[in-house]
Amino acid sequence: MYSKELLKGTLSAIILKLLAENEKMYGYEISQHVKALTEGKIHLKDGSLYPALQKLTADGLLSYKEEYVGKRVRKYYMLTKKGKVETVEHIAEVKDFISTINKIMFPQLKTT
Amino acid sequence: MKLSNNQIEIIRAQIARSIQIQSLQDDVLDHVCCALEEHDELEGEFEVAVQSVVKELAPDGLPQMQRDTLLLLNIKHIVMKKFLYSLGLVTAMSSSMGLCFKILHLKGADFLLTWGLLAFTLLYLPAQVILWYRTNENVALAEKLKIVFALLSGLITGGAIILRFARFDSSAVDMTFVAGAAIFSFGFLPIQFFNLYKKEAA
Repeated sequence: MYSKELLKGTLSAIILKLLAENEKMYGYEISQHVKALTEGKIHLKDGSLYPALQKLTADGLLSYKEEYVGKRVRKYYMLTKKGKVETVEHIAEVKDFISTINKIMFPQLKTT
Repeated sequence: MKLSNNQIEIIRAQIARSIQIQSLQDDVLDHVCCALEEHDELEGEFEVAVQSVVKELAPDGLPQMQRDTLLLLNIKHIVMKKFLYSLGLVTAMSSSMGLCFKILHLKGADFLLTWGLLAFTLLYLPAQVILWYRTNENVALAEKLKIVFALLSGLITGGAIILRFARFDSSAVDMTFVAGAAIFSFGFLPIQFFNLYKKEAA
């Protein structure tokens, strides 16, 4: 299980990437999908998923459609036009960040 | 574990005690219900099962989740407010120390007063008004007018004081000062006192 701090900067990118691949998802579905994809290593159970969804919606990257499931509302989140554009940028940024971190943490052995 | 309507209402009421943002409430309710319905091992005492799912979803509690959400949604606003208040504090301190130096005939009085008032009048006041308008779009027209009068009188009076300290002694500067004071006295003050009266009467 990764720490909250490690996940903090990449959570939005994870959500955007999943929605880019799955068209529309609801919160619980996202959390289960992440858990399954990462073999339980990333478990969005620290209360950060829903604040992030609210923020992405407020920023205009996500929109949602409400559907009633019995007596409760289920919100299916989906990418907006702006969200689709920014997903590409977010993913490129995370990719670049990971490669930079790799250079620092695991520098290649120099051969003479 | 299939939840009955009554059980859903109990969970909803429990969430509503900690979370007031409707949209977040709906998300959390659906999440808790999904988790309860999917995991048979949670069957047993209903209250205990709900507590367990909520604890797993939000280990720091639902109120903390709402605080995190509000922080994320208002982060720009919070940063801007911090900057504004710091600016207001520094410029007010500079102006008051400048005034104190001036009375005591100490060096640096003009510098402190001029730059303090300049930044207060031209940066802090307009920025504060813009921020106020953004967060109070739906207030009454009288309240908006009051703020406009306060800004105008602040800008004009501040400008006149700065010109005075810069040794621009002319009747035009005096008239500017009078104009600022007049806007404050006949624009801002009547609305302010009328509002106070209305509040008291209500």
